[in-house]
Order: sequence, then C-alpha cells, then structure tokens
Amino acid sequence: MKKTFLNLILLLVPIQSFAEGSIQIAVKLTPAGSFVAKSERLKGDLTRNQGEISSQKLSVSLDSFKTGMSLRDEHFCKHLGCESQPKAVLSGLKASGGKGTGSLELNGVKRDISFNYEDKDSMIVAKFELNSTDFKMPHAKYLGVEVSDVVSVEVRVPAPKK
Amino acid sequence: MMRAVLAIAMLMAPGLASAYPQFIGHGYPSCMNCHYNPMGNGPLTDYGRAVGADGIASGALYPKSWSEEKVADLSGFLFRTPVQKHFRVQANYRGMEMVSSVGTPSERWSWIHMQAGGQLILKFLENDRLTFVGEVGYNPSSNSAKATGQDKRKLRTREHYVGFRITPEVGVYAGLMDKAYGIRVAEHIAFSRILPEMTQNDQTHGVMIHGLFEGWEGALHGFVGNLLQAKDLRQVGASAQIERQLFTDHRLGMSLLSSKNDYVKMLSYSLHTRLSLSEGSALLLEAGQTERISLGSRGDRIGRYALLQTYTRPVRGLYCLTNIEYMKSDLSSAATTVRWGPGIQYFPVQKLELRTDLYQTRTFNPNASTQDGWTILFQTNVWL
Repeated sequence: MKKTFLNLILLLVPIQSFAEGSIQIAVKLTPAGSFVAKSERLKGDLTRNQGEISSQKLSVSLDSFKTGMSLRDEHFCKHLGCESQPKAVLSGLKASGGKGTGSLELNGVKRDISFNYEDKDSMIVAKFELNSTDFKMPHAKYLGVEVSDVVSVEVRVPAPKK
Repeated sequence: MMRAVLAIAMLMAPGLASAYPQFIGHGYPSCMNCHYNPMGNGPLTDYGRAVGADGIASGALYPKSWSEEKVADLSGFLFRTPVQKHFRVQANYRGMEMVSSVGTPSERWSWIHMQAGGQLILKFLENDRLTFVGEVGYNPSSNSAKATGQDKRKLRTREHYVGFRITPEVGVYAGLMDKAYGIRVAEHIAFSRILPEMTQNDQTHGVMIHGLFEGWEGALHGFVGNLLQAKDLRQVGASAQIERQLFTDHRLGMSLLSSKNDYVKMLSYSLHTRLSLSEGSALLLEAGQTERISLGSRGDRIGRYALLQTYTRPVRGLYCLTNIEYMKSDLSSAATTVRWGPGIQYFPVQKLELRTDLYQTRTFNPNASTQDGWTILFQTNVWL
C-alpha cells in the first residue's frame, strides 16, 4: 500500500533535471570550411510533466564556447555580444511530441524560436537554426573569410524520466 | 660520395611545397581559405597567415600579455599588419639536417638548403577576385644535373599565375602551377607524388578551372608543360580532381591525369579520402595507378601506389604523424617497396616549423636481397 502510494506521488510530481547540458553551434565559412562552437556549460532545469517538457530558464555563458582556435573563441564571443550581455537565455520553453517553442534572448534582442527535439533515454536533444541578423548581429567577416549568418544549433539537456 | 648524399637528400626531403591537406582536421576541407591557389600550396592569404599564427602555432611561447588578436596582427610580412590591401610580399626558407644510413658505418649527417624563395602577390577587386601570384626561389641542383653539367640555373620559379574568380564558386587560373591531381601532401618524395610525376619540379603552364559548390569541389586543368623546359620534354595534357564532402568535414575524391611528350605517354588515376578526426587531427588515404607507355621504344610499365598518413594533435602547435606508403613501380616486376615511419611536426611560434621524420624503407623482392634503409630528417621551415 505504501509502495503504491509512493508510485502515485512519483507520477503526480513533476521530474526536474538540474544537470549541466551542452550546446553545439555549427557555423559555415565562405569560401569554404566550417567550425563548431561547443559549450558544456548550459545551465538550467527541465521539467517533465505527463509527456510535456518545460523549463523556466536555460542559460549559457557566451565566453564558455570553444571553437578549436583561441582567436576565433574571442571573435565568436564578441560577435554574439558577450560584452553587453554575457549570457544567452532561453525562457518559457515548452515542448511535446517532438516540437517545442521558447524565447531566446541574445545580444540584447529577445525573439521567439521553435525547435524539433528527440527524447533519447535521459537526454533531450533539440535542434534548430538561428539567423544572426534576427538578433541584430552584423555580418561576420575576418581577413576575407566570411561567416554564414544562419547557424545550426544542437542543444543537449539531461532529463531523467524518473 | 657527397653528390650521392645530396641526391638522396633531395629525394628524401619532404615539404618543399607547403601544402597541409591534413588541416581538414581544423575544419578547413578546402585549401581556398588559406592559400591563393585554391588547390593548395604556395603563398598564404592573410587569413591563412592568421590561422597559422593563432590556430596552428603553439601559444605557449608567446608573452602572457599578448592577446590572440595581437598574435594575429603580427602574422603579416616581417611581423607587421598590412596597411594596404593590394600588395603582399612573402619569403620562406626550408633547410634540413639529414642522417642517412642510420646505424651503419656509412652513417652520414648533412645540412641541405631545400628552399629559399620569395613570393609576390597582387590582388584586386572585391574579395580579392583578381590575383597575380609569382614565386622565385633557390634551385638546388640534382645529382644527375650536376653530373651532366646541365640545369645550372640557381633560381627557379615554381609558380606564377593569374587567377580570377568569376563567381565565388568558380574561378579560372592561368600560368605555371602544380597539376590538379590527388592529395597534395607536403612530402614531394611520397610515392603518390613520384609515380604520377607530381613532385617539386613538375609544375606546368596551363589553365585551370576551379569550382567550389555546396558539398563539391573540383578542378579541371589543361596544360602544355613547363615552357622553361625543352619542348620535347614538356608533358602536354589534362588532369582533373573532384572531391565530395561527406558529413561536415570529410572528403572523398578521385583524380585523373593524361599527358604525353615526345617520349612517353602517361595515364594516372587515383582515389583518395581526407577525414577530419577533429581538434586538428586527420587521416589521409590515397591509392592510385600510373600507366607509362614509351613512344618509339620498349619500356611500358604500370605502377601502383598507396599512401596512408595520420596526424594527431595532442596540444596546440604539436602534430604527431605516421606515414605508411606502398609502391610497386612496375607490376611486371617482383619488387615492392614499403616505406613507413613516425614523425613530429612542431610549430613553437608563428612563422616557424620544426619537423623530425624517421623513415624505414624496405624492398620486398623474392629474387634479390636488400638491406632496409633508415633515414632521419630534421627540418626547419621559416616564413616571413
């Protein structure tokens, strides 16, 4: 009886995850090439509630992104506006059935975004594209090599099912 | 004896051409970002020099007060930031201490000047769509040239061409340059460069069309031979190389080359792949075949080769490499040569490369017995 009661409580109480997640941003270069900016310092929590996933706030420090080249790390951080707003913040995240929405604040600009996600065991893997011009970032170019305005983002957040 | 050592040195010396296709491991599958020649090799673009300073060279020896931005600003000629955009000068020197016949009574140490040259680049229009590239450098005489008293030129140009990007995707290049074929590894002694005749002095005058599209890169090269050579020796023909991008940073490619002069007709073809193992590490693999048909006399032969190179980057500035090569220069012969060895490539600061290679060369031949050859190379490459 006690066990049944406990199970019932576990079903009714939302499951929360507080572990750090990761973000990968795939960036294309012109005339050729690409790089991936990675951060393992995504902070925030996901809540599971009867098939729905939600989060009040996920954030990542922009200076935590590593691109495989120190100078590029600096340029990446500055380009994302880390000097005026050191963190990217995703708030009001709601997701179910493989699709989700949220509000992303970056470079002092807040915009709604939508994404697709997969629920892989105890990990939520969300993918979406961002256009940097939507966040008032200038077109990036360094010594003749240009950076694509549209980048592909993959977010991984631990979310235990129980 | 000295002549023989020099001749071997010229054969063994890697890296006369500073092409580093392994930098696909840094997210650069195409050579175009860092070199004016879209197929790699030759003078570096401003971006390529900055990448060399910040991404390739170790940061450990720079003063702690230096920012990465300052390091990049020092990547210009003579450590200066270019103040205008149309004119660039570059210079480089590559020398090598070679230890041959290691561990035998005839072990010998000798210093070889491999390359000392200057490059001039003129560039115009938006995004440097129009470029003129010229190079002149020291020309070490080969043993055979010395013996015959020929090839007394002490200066040689290995590259001079004009390039025009019609669109960002398509460009036309005309002049003296390397043929578009295979993986342009730094080691011009690689069997994959010797058999199809793609070594340090095999450049040709011609016209190359280069294309870079989403997921594809390739070049079609028509050539008339090196116009500084005697007419009967000039290899006239065409080559093509195409690469398909796989996933993000992997390439799978194929090449074809057909040419002839008054004495020989050549047909070469190869398959290759360049795989990024991330964080600066990479794997290069090429396998090919060359058919040589003698015109007017006997001596036709078909040769086969393979190359496997791995590069791993434990820390910034340091690359550990492994080189394994196979060559059967004549399929009708019983002899097969295998060369392998580890190496270390270190960029302690920008504009300086130190490299050590150990090579063991073994010939397998049921009809003859030969001793393994052991060679150690200590290379220094400086560019300004």
